[in-house]
Amino acid sequence: MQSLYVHIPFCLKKCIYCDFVSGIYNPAKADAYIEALKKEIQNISDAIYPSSVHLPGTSTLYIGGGTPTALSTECLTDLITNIFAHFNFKSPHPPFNKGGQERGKNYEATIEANPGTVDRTKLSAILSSGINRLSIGVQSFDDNALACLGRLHTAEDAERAVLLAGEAGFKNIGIDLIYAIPGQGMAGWEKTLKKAVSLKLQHISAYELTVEKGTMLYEYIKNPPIPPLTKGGKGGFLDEEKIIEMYNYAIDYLTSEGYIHYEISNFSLPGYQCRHNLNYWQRGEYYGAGTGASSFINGKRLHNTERIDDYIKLISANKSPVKDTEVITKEQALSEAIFLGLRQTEGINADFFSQKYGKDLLAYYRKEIAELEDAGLLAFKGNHLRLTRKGILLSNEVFKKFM
Amino acid sequence: MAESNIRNFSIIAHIDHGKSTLADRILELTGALSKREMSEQVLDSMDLERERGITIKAHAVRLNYTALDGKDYILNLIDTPGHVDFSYEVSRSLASCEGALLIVDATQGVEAQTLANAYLASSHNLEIIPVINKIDLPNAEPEKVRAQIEESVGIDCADAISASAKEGTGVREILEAIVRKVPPPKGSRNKPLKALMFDSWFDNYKGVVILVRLFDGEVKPGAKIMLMSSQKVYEVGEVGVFLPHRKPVESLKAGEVGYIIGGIRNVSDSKIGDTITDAVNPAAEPCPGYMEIKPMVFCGLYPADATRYGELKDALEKLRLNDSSFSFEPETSVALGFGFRCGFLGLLHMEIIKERLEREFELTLVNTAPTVIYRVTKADGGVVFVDSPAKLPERYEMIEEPFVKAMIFVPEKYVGQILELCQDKRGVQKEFNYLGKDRIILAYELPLNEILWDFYDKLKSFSSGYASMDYEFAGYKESSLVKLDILLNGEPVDALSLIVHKERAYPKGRQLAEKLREVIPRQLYEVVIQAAIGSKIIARESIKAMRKNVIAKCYGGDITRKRKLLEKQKEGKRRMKQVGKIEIPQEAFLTVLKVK
Repeated sequence: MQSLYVHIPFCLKKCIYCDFVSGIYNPAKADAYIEALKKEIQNISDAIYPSSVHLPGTSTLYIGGGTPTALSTECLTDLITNIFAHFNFKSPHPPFNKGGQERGKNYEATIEANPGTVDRTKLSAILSSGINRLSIGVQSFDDNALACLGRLHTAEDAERAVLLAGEAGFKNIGIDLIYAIPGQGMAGWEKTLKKAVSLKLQHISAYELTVEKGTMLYEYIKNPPIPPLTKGGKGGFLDEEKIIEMYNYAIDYLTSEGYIHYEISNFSLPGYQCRHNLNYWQRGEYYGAGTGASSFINGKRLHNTERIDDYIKLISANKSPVKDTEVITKEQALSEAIFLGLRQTEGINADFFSQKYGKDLLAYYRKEIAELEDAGLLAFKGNHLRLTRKGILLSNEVFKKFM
Repeated sequence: MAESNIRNFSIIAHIDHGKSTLADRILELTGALSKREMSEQVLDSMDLERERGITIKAHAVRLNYTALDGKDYILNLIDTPGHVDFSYEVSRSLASCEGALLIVDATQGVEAQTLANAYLASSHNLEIIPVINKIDLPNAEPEKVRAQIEESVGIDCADAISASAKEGTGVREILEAIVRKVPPPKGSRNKPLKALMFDSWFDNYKGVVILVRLFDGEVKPGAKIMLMSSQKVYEVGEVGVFLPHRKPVESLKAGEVGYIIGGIRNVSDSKIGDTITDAVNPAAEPCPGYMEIKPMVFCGLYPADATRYGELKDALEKLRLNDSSFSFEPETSVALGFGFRCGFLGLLHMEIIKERLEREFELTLVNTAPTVIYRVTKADGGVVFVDSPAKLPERYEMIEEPFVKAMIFVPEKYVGQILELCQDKRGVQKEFNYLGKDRIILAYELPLNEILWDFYDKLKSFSSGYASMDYEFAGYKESSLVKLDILLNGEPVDALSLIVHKERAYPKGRQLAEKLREVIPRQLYEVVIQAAIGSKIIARESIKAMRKNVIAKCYGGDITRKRKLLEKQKEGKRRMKQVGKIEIPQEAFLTVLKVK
């Protein structure tokens, strides 16, 4: 199973915690970028089936950013239509005839959207051009927290965006939430989660605010420009115990409301796990188009240039936008299989692991597994090796043992 | 050449007073090296020497000089090491000379090493020629410095030479003064061979090369020589001189300085200060002053990566070929695994060896806190020397520790802080004298242990850099010492043990526990740190178990980056030492040094 990721590196404003490849939206530059992107998508398609009548059968599509919905409706529908003209999303294989295809129902095509960048018209256009899943960057239903993150929208805008999506006909809507925001208390987090549940969303991602190097947030921590937002904690940042409490609360509350906690930071109603992301964690192959996008094909991981201008130049000069090519060694593949596999709460199926990697999971990692089971971080359920709740919180410590 | 036309001299100075630069100028002026051949400070041939600006090995260069009297002379310049760790080597170099240039910086004046070296030179009856260097500097005060030398060293400075080694002024006057004032060697070429070895090193092609000063007799290739301390006999393969490039000659005669290569395989057989004589017709008496040099400072050296133990052993053996003054023997630590207990002449020597091991052999080493060697009288009356806290017997009558006599020069306005510092380091004042109106010479008896670590840095910082110090070993004295142990989760960590003065044990134990809490990262389990004297716990700290280390997001574009992050964290873990279940970073073993 292969998936396609398409990157839109534009936002209306850069958020302080963001380390994704994105710049400020500019219509002229966006148009030039979309032209290049369309060309790369065609190139990828042609490379898979050169001069044949077949279209590659790809199971999932994910248009992420940046803020894809920062683009105009015309621009977006043009892009989406183009993608669907070069890939067939009726999964699984075999390939379908060019032109003669019928769009299947069993596919997942997601676009990321930000509240404040969507209206009814745009949402309807996106849906009718083939996208069937929406991931809305809500982050919080608490205005203080949103202000702290430097988001342009309010909690009300966020709620409206969800409602609009439903009205436009989306049946699979997910939102991203962030916790451990400076100044955020347990009450604010509870309020946000309750609101999310009341909106009957199919999917909720709950991410701990991560301070990445190179972000404004990172600079703020090093040199706080404003007095701490709360007492205790560095520059208003929450202490570890509080973050753990928030995380545990999210797991307990959301599962009690019928959500499945299927990955460290992801929850969904049954049957609504994000298949595109599951493919990453199962080390399936994927193509990436656009700046900073990665592909993983034939044991190689390719990384596109992150600079928009370079990308446009390379594509228009018929050159590859790939900046780094990395051949994943057998050992690296094993470590990846472990640390990606264990991110999923159902864990690693020992039989599948042995089949795919030719190593008996239990025998090969006997010492590591025994030690971590002993420490209460790993456990077996049937033939699945999985992280315990304690193990999830210390997952990097677990993963390190398998590196 | 006739003995009357030979002059053997050294250059002595406080650090940074311009010794090496002056040596360069002398080499240049006598034509030993052309300007083109001059690399900065030719005689400091090791990279380390040049970087640190100090001379570690002694050197000897033969210079041809035509003096103003129209006669040709041979001047043998014997360069001496410039650090207190190597004072025995300095004394052997001086014993090989008839004269010494005493270089004093015209802006700094007399310093502790100036005086220590001048005393050493006069104890060898050398003709001392005072040279006031750096007179080109705007803040030079040659007159004041002249008076200082007269007062402190007690030599006549009427003829002191004003020079600037940097600009080359005064160099000819210096050479003329050497010819005129330094007496020629007084030996007999007809007596049996008697030569003083003042340095040796290992050459990959030639074996051990020894530097000698001949007092009597003559030595030629083919001769059978004997090292008097060991009575071992060797056949001379080559003799020669350094110009400064090595040049074989037919023979070396009484009064001359040069090298002998004689099939000596092991540098530890060529002991500095030993006398070389004719095996068939030996000299009646060896040269005076020979000592077996003994390491003063010990530490454990362990490979950070335990699998490289063999490489460390090879590296130590190779280094020892070149430097017989450090010792090593295998040691096993519960905490650090297999390594070596190594002995050094002093802290600088220790740093140099460690740096060479890491640099020349690409090893990463963990060293335990340096310690002095204690003399312990056991309960049964037997005496043992203890070079590691781990070796301290459980029951003993008495511990004695080495003391030094330190001479400290300090401007009057800083003397208060320096007295306090010495007091704090358990020093006993022996002398307090004025040098001129505003400088003070202090003599203190101090435990060597106390000056090992930060004493010199503090001396400098308390005096804005003006105080200087020199010291010599002053024997063993009984002290009230105890062994301080560190326990992690109840288990003693041998590599963290210390021998400390009883009165310092409590604050030291507390500080050590606190510092360790800062450097040991959180683990999956709680870590309890305790400091103990015997079975008595005197401090306790704990490191809470790690609760959270998790990556919130990991999607397609992140996988490589996150994997590399995890690999890096794993690598960091690998560099730690595992003691029981606890992972200890290497720096933890050095925190022992950082407590006051």
